[in-house]
Amino acid sequence: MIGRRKAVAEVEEVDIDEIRRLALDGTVPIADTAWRQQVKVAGRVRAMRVQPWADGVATLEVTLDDGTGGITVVFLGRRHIGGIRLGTHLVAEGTVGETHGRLAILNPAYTILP
Amino acid sequence: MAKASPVQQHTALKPLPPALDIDIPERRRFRIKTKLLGKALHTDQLAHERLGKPTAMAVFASDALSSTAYASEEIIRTLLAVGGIGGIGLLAFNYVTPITLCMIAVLIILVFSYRQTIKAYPSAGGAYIVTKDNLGLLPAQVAGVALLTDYILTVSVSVSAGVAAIYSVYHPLYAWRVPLALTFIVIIAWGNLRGVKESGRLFAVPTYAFLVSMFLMIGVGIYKNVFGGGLEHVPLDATQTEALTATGTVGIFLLLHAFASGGAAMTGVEAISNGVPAFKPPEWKNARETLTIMGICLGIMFLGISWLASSMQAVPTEEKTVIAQVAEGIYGSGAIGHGLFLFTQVATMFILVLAANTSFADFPRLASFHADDAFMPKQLTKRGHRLVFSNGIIALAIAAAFLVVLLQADVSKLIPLYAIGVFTSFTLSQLGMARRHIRIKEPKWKLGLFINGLGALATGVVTIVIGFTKFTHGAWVIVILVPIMVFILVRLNHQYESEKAELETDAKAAAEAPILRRHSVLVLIEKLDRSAARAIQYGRTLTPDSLKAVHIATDEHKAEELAEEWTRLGLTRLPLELVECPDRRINRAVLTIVAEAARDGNTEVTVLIPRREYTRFWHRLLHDRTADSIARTLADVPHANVTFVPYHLSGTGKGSQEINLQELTS
Repeated sequence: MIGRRKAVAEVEEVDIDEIRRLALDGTVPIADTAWRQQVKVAGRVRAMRVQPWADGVATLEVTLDDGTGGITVVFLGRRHIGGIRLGTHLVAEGTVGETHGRLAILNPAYTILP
Repeated sequence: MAKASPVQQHTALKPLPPALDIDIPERRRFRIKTKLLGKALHTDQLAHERLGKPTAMAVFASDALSSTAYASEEIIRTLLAVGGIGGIGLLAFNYVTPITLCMIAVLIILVFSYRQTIKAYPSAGGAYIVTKDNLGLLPAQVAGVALLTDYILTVSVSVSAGVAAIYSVYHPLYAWRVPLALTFIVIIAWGNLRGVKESGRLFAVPTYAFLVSMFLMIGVGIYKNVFGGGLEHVPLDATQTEALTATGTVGIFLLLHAFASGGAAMTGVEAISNGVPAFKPPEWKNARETLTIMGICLGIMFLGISWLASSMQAVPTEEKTVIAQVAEGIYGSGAIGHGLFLFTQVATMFILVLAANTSFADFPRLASFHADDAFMPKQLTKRGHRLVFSNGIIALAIAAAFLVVLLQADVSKLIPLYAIGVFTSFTLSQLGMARRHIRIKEPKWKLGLFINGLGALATGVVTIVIGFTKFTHGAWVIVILVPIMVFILVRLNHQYESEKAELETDAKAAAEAPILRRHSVLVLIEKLDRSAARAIQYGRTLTPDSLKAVHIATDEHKAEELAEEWTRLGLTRLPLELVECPDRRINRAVLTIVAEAARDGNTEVTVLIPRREYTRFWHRLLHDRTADSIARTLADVPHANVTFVPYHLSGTGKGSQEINLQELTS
């Protein structure tokens, strides 16, 4: 048992580096994003909003922060996404729009970094 | 319930209950306070009793008269240098009476000077007011601080001397002198917090008892000395004999030092000029006459005691005060004699305690003058529970108690600190009066100028003599302390003035400035409970542009649970924001969110913090004070406002402290 677990761990380590490299390829600093740009950003989830819209449409809003700035990421139609919680590292790709007077990426393509 | 018609509604209306009759449960602290101090007084009850001359004499003169209980003794002690070196032995008794006469000359000058002050300032003319009026604010601070230190010393000295009067009768109490003195201070402070009215009987009995006992003693003493073949010398013990056989040389310094020690007798002469409005009309005339009578009594007693003490060669010891020795010697050891001796001691003790009490009336009032002019903390101007300046009383009690403990209730150690302050304030107020005569030139101003000029000169010289001769014995403390205190007060004043300037600049424009366009309300939520629900409910009534709940996630699992619960309960109208806080510094996290919300410069942010209110004080110990600490942090953010939303916990189930509004208004 012990030997097998170790082997798995080694495999994962290699994979994690590879995944990270691929996922982070082409990301830009959040500070450089602007409205109506197609961007790919990465950061950690600094804040989460639950149920933000009054009419009961399920929405999950998170704030991504990469140290240069923060941007809102909106997942429409979802109340909950497995694996996304406070402190999760996330890569999001999409067009920068606006919500509540802030820059936001709506329904991005996303990757949760391990 | 069916809706009532307008007529029914209106006939059901009742008038409001009387303002003070609302039965709001009081806090425990207040209940204890009421038990200790009596019912809180209404502001209208701030009575201004008018005093007739005999009562006024009792109220204002106790400080001055009581100092005769120790002034002669201190002169003798200095000349004999009891327990020290440089005493002049038996020769001392040749000088006691002349020195006393010099002091009485100063007293006469002072009385005449203060007669001028009383006429010029019929509405309270203490040294502070006179100096402020004529010499400016800074000299007034010097006069005030000097006087305040002397009020503190008056309490320490009087109480210590009062205790000395007790242990002169029953010596075993000597070991208990410090606790006894502290007990007196506590009792007097308590009495003043309750608001001892400066009313007649309480003051009159001890003051007149003291006057009677002193005049009787002096009378009998003179009779025995002149017609009865002279007074016997007081029997001596070893230390006394040693002091009497000393053969130091009579130097001018020693005589000046003894004179300075006698200066203690002058403290309290200013008391009447502080309280002119308390006299029956014509106030200034009655005050002047009372001052003169007091001066005469003081002079006779001081001179009489000094003369008797030197005839009898009384040497002060730890066990017996000079007055006790003189009284014992004069009255003899018969039953009547012993009774009269006891009467003298008890009267002495009471007037000394009363003298301490006078300081408790004067110190807080003077401190409140300082505070009114923004030179002392504003708290000193507040009248407390019983309409007295409670904070001033407590400050005085603490300072006096500190001195008593530090100097072990030893009058001879306290005396060197004494009198320099009061003479400083005498000098400044006389200078002020002289300046006023030159400035205003009322009829007979030249005579007034001469009197006050002489007063300023005499008291100025005495101040220098006291400062110089007692410097090494402890007066240096005062010489250093007063300037330091004045410096602190001036700094305090700058602080107050700059605050005032900042708050008042463009206050009108600021009040009319356009309001910010947006209002954003954040409800801080720890978990979903009734206190949180209450805060959300209140947040809704504010109808802000944006309302959201914020949870600072110090524990990720709790945060997720809360998020799930939020969804499950269907609180759809209100978004919940989870904010990570990996360093667990909640204050900083809230600060960041609020700063972000207010960043556009166009948003007024209100942070609602649910706060549990506890019935019992120890319940509070079970929880930290996070809410208050968050509020303090947010105080630094412009346009961030904190509102606590209270939720009453009934605690042990003995019923909530929450006030029932229906009961209140029906």
